Amino acid sequence: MPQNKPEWQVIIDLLRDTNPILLNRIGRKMMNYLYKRNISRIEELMKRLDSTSTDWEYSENQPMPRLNQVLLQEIMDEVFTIAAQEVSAEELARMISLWVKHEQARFLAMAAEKRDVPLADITEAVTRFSLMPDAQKSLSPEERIGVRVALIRRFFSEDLDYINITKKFVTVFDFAPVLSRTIGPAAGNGKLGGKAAGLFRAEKILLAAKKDNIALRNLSIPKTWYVTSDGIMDFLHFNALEEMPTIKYRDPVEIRQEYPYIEQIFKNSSMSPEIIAGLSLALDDFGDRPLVVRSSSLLEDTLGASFAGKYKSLFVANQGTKREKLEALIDAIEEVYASVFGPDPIEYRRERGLLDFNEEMAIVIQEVVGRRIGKYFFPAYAGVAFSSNEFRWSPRIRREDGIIRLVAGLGTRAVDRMGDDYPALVCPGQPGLKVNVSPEEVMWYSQKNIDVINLTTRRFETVNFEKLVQEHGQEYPALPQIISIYQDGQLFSPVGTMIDYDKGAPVVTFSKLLTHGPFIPQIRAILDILSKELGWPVDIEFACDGDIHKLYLLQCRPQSQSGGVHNIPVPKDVPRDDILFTAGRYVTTAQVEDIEYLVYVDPAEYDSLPTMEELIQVGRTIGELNNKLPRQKFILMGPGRWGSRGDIKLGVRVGYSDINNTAMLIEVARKKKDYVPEVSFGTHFFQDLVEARIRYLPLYPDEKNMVFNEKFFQNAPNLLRRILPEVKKMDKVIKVINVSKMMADATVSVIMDGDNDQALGFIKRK
Amino acid sequence: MADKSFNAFEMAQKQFDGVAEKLGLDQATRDLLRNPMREYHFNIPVRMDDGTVKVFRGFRVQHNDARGPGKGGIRFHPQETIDTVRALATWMTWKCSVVDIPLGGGKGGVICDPHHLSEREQEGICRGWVRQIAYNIGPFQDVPAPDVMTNGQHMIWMMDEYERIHNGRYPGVITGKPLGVGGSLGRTEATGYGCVYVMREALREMGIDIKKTKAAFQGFGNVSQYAVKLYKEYGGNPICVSCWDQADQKSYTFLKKTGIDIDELLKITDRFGGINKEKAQSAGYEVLDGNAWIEQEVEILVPGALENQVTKDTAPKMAKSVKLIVEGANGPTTPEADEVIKQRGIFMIPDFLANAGGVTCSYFEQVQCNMNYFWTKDEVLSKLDTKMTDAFLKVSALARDKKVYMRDAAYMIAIQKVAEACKLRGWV
Repeated sequence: MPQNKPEWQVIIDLLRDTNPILLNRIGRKMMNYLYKRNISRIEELMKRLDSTSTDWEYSENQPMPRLNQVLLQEIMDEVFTIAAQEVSAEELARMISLWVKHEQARFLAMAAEKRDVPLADITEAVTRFSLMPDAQKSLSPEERIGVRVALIRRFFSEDLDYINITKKFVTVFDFAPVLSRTIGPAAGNGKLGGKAAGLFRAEKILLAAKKDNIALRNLSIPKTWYVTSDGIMDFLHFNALEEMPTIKYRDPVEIRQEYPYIEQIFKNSSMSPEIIAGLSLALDDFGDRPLVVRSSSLLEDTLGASFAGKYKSLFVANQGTKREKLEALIDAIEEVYASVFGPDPIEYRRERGLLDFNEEMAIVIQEVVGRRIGKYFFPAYAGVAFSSNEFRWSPRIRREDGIIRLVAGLGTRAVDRMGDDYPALVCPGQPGLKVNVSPEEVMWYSQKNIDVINLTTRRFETVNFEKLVQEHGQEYPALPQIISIYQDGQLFSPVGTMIDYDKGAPVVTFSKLLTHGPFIPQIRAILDILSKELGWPVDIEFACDGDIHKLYLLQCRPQSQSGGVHNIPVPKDVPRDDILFTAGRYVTTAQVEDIEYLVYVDPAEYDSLPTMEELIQVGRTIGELNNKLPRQKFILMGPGRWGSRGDIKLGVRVGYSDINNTAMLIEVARKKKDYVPEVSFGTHFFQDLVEARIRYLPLYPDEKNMVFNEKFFQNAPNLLRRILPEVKKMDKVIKVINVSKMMADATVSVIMDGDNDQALGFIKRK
Repeated sequence: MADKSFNAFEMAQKQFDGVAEKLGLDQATRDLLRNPMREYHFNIPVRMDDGTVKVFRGFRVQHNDARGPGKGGIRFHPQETIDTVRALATWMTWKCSVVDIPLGGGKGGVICDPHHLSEREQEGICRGWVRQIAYNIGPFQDVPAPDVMTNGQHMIWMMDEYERIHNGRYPGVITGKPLGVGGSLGRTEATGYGCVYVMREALREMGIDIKKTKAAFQGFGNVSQYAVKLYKEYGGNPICVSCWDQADQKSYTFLKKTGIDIDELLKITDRFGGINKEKAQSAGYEVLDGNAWIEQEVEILVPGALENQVTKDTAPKMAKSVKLIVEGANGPTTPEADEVIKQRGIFMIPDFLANAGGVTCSYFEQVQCNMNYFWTKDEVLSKLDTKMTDAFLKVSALARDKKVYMRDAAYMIAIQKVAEACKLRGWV
């Protein structure tokens, strides 16, 4: 009776007859397996495979000799013989059945690796894989990485840095839910764009950190659908608008003139039945929830290119019949598509040499986080947070303490700068340090209006916050966390949940939210983890639907993009004579350039003014100069605390309207007797400075290694009388210097290098 | 150069010297009143949020308490303002004296910037301040109040610390507290109403029927809003107010010659006294430049919001009809403008008399706290009327008798009363 063949031998024999290619792959795996187990005979065998080692005539510059097929077959047979002698039959059976299993999932590796596999096929492959029993084990570790990387590259980004970081946090399974909500031409191979890529990666990084960080436990991402980036090409093709992508090469004036027309053409076009069917499916999934349609272009949200605010994000109320909802959604997508051909993004690309890039626009359709309150829909609070704080109002705040712009309602008011309304500015690393201290300041710089979606009119609207609270205060979730009550000159945090609105006016302060509950730890954890893993400061958008324990992450991108300010080191080659000043404390990142005028209030002269009236007159004169000088083309420099209240000797008494046209506010702290006066950090109108992007810098001229070119300020011709002939006796105190006139076409630049806490103000000659 | 430069305390002393000369005060009295009686300077160690300890400098200046316990604010401020604090303490003595409330003058503070401190740290400073001076302040010694960068919350922390140390309830140790923890009703109305009480008395003395007058108000904050309200109730015709427009970053004057309807205007006014231009226009108001209030054909001008409004440039623009100026704000008139006013024979009720309604109400808060019995708003306001009327009559009588400008008369009466109290006590 013949001896029973071991199980593994049966499989091998079967493969030899039915699938020799697979057998070859298994043979190779076996060879590697034995090699790893340090079996010396295998090494010898492998040497035989190296044809160059036996050919004495071989040199590196010619093709290596080919081994014949028979020899290869012999080697493979020998591998299995060695295996049978060195490894137990059970072990071999286990290994070989595992490798065969890996082969079952090979379709995924193949689909992912190939460049032009259509969306439909790859979606099917990923779904099939996810549904396989024991799917995780059906790919070898290296194949798992390979598939992961291939899918990241296929759908998110080909940028190596992006892939490198993302592959650490993603599994193949993470793609199934994304692809099951992805709409696009079935035969296409578009991506999901920058915004989708940023959020996908952030979500996975935070998910990985969840188990070690209690603050992240209730963090989620709103339900999202995607339209792939080639959807726009499909749209252009379907509507015979193929000439659109060349518009970017036209004359900028022409582009600007034509844009409103293009927008209307887009909005009156239609989408292919395939995409409409996809969107219809998405709407069924979303139900009646309001939606936000966000641009997610290929160039957007990549490191180095900021498209902040260049492409549109639109809210859709998503109410009415299915047909109405579908029409509204399509209309919004078409408008976002049109924004690719808008004058501003094209100009932006031209400036950065990105015009020749084949820009495509993917779409992210996200459900709006929030609740229905009356006829409105909005989140209890929302905002943006930055891991690096470029607007510090106290020397105790470090850059890495970050900053939050927080609002009640939709986050649009935090993202945009309103000018006449203010978000709450909070430093998550030092939440106790407030920008505004007195109840009057807090009130003045508090949010007065709230952005909402009106479900009745189906429009995005801005409504008065106080009125909304009066009408719907009882329904507004987490309201006690958001407001304080102003009564009798004081602000009171609500005690418990009982709020008596008749007692006083509700003011948005977030007083309780910031001192109690999980919000600050949540934001800190998100910013810390993301900036650590990504290696650069991040900018996130978030919202809360009213359950203060839960937070939704809406967007994540490199911070350098949000404000468009990159850190630039101070130049080292400026001639000494052209240096106006240097600074080495409390420097934030910014560049202030093309400045024509300097307005300098001489600290010693200001201090020696003999009467109150003259001191007040200085502030008035600054206000008049502010109205006369070209906007954003001058810098105000003065002693101590601009806008000083209480004691005029500490600094020039001005209000925000007296300085609102300046590009920059500089406070000069000259040593007095044995102490250096405190600077204000602009706190008297800090939030106005932030909203108007007026930069702030303190100078300490008497500190070691600091340069302050006093002679320049003293000797430069003073234009004060020419500009304000009616102002008398102020020449000594206020110097108005026109640098461009003084030195042919020269301007003043101030380069502020926040990374190294250094700043330099100098004359830039043409 | 330094000796010439502006110094608030030197200015207060110079002003005092001038009045002392007119009053013929003896040298000892002058020496006593020229400088504060006492000054306390002390350290306040505070445990910061990061675990370190930071030492803050605190102080209290008690200028004079011959007429009663000291009264004056506590400010959080940067380093170099001690002379300003001395000046303010001196002015508090005169201000309490002119309205004849039995209080002296004080001022204090801590060198710190609350923008750089958390609330917990600020609480530490407040409590630390009281610990260092708990036996030198009190309902019958010296009564602090809110000032620059401090508010009711700081006052409550201070009161609470004081009560812990003295083991009892002493709400009268501090004023400016919220209602329910020792605050007084009527505080919001006090300054505006006070202005109109003295205005009413001035008109009566001048033989002018208030019902036949028109008035222009600068500002539309707490002071002007309540002043307009009461003036109208008395039958006067307020024709304009001015206010700051946040969106335009400039001020406007809102004029309605037939008379302002205060309730109508308040409906279109935000919390900061900003009036909605468009709505005002459709309600029949002319919207003019922010300085136009001073040029109106009225009998009465009430500069009620900002300092330095009546200047050598704007004073000549006052209409011929103007007979009375009531200084609702602090320091709205410059010395050059005072000369114009004197020449034109316009009657002037100076700021520290006209706007003393606020400090009088603080005094009422203290009195109510000491009794632990709180009055109704009407009671507070009627007592305020009595006090203000009485004070005005005394100042104007002196101005008439001695033929001096009202501002000078007010100072003379104030300083005279303090000097007398010192004399009676046998201090000088």
